[in-house]
Amino acid sequence: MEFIYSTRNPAVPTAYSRLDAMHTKCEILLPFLAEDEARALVEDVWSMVQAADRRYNRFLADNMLAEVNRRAAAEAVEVDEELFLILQLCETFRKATSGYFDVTAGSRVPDRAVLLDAPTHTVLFSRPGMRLDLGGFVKGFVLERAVRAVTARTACALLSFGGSSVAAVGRHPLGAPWPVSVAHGYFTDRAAYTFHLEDAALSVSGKDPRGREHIVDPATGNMLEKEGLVAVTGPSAMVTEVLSTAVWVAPAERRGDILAAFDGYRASEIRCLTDGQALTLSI
Amino acid sequence: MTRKDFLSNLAFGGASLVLFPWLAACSRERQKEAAGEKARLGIIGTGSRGQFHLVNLLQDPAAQVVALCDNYPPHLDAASSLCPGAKRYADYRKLLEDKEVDGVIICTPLSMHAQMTIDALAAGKHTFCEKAMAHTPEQLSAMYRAWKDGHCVLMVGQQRLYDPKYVQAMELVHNGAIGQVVGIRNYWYRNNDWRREVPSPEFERRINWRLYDEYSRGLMTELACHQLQNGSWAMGGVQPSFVTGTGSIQYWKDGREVFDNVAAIYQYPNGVHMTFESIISNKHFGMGEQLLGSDGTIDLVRGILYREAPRRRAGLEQLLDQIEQGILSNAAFAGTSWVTEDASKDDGVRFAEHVTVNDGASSIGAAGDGSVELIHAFCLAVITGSQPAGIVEEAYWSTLLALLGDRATHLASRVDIPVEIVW
Repeated sequence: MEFIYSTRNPAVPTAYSRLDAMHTKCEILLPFLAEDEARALVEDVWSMVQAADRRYNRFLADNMLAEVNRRAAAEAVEVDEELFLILQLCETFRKATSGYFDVTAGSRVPDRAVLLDAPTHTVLFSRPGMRLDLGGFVKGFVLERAVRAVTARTACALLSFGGSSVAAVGRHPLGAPWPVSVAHGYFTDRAAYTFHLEDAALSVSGKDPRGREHIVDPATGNMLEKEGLVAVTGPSAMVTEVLSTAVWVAPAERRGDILAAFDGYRASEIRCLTDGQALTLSI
Repeated sequence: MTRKDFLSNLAFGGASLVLFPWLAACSRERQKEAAGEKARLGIIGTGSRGQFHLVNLLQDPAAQVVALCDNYPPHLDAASSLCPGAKRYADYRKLLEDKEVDGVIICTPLSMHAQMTIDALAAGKHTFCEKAMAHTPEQLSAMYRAWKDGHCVLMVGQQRLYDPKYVQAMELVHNGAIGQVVGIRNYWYRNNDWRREVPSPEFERRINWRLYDEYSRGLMTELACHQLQNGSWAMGGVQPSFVTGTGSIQYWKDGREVFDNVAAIYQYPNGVHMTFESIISNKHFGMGEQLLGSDGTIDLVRGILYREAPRRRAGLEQLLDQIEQGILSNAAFAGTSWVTEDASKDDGVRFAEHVTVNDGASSIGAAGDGSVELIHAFCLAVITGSQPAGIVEEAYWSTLLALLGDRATHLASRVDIPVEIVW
């Protein structure tokens, strides 16, 4: 963990901290708090992130998620309350997005279903070969919890998990909403589009023009070959995380319907051009 | 901070009020004191700049234009059509006798500024005189003396005094954002003959007064006068020790007497140089004002701070960097995933919101250049009778630097600059 407490601007003492977790760079900016308050808050938030990273990392063999992936096709596997809640939420979002958000998307198994039994807190896969990948959900889920923890102790903060999941608490210390720019795909120092966030979250999904495909098409189980980014803003970091993936995966004609089911969320498609310009279209 | 909030908030730290003490004259308390009152004003000289102020004053709730004066009837008629209720005068002395006039705004050719200002102050009128203050150093001293000996407000039309971009830039400089100031570069390029249309030849010198020595000191008093303030501010109020320069008429050989290109170099006591260059037969580089420091550069025209060695902060660290410097700007860190930052050249960070980039083409005034705030400040000063601190001294020095720079360009040699105001 990196922790900086800066008083270079005496009117706005600011703590910055960074933690490498969840396969990315998690960052938090906390203006106005005293150093010990900021440090304590950062430690609480990072503890939460590290715990989630251990529990829901699909590359670890010894967590509950791994056990579900190993056994749930053969038998109902009992899970703890938090994982059960996450799976319930994922199922709810799968239905609400017509299947374009699907944590079993990489399974390459047709007609699959995750069967959840509330009284016993058990999970059962409907078909062999299925597996859960919570990577596209947990970042938003943990970010939302982190925002709650931060909001309880300060009215001004900014959190970013890898730049793809961002949450603003209150306004920038100099008074306006937090200006958060999506970096241009070809010129990373430049802004492709700037969002102004106040008590709101931003999530960005898609393919960086210089990056590799990394989002799975739920229909085929293959990496989706598609250009462009989708950015979603709204009150919940968890919902923006889900929606940015679902809207990016969905064909153009279905995007509006998916979004319409979620009040208070807005989506934009951003296309970065090689000349440094960027096109932003409201969805 | 937006321009709209600028005068009412004045949310600046100590550095700005030390460097820009006149801002305190527009504090909330002063605005409150003047609330509901109107400054009754007369405009002397209703040509292009006079009409520019008139249009702004007509929209200012603290102003009531009650008199207009010009000895060139087309200009007086044009102003009267904008403000039909105002009394008309052809002789400024008559306007000064008008008891309904609390303050005057002098927008006449440069050579007339001194006498008109001295007369106005003697008549008990609060006075706003367009820049530059005076045509000669002797006139300048006489104006300063007349103000010091009297009890009226005097302000001079240097609009950068009220341009938030300059205030914010100088706060950055004095907070160490660019390290030690090592150079100041100013330039103003245009490609036009600087002429106004003349209805018949007998009006040539009257209309195109900027082109003749008898009325004007050309590019130095009309353009440099604004930009030379940057040096004083960046150097913490210290004035240069001497100036050297050169100039000529090399392109517009149309009978004008003032140079169509000049270059002047001012040296400060610590060895730092400030340059001013103007050419009016090429406009490619437009207008530029740059503060060069050991750790960074400020482009004053565009409101951008560049670092010599960008710290290459990424993600939220970019925002931390900006907060440390009191800057509210965006940071491009959002995206599909974190990408390791490249060792790229610094693209700079914009330190002022809503910056209007002035290309320097207009001689009259540009939107968002501080003129509206400046003239509003004068209205408040007329109503309250309070002299904004430091503003006359500021105008004195910028005019003196311009006049001595002009002298250096004519002599093509070194001209010493006095260390104190002479009056």
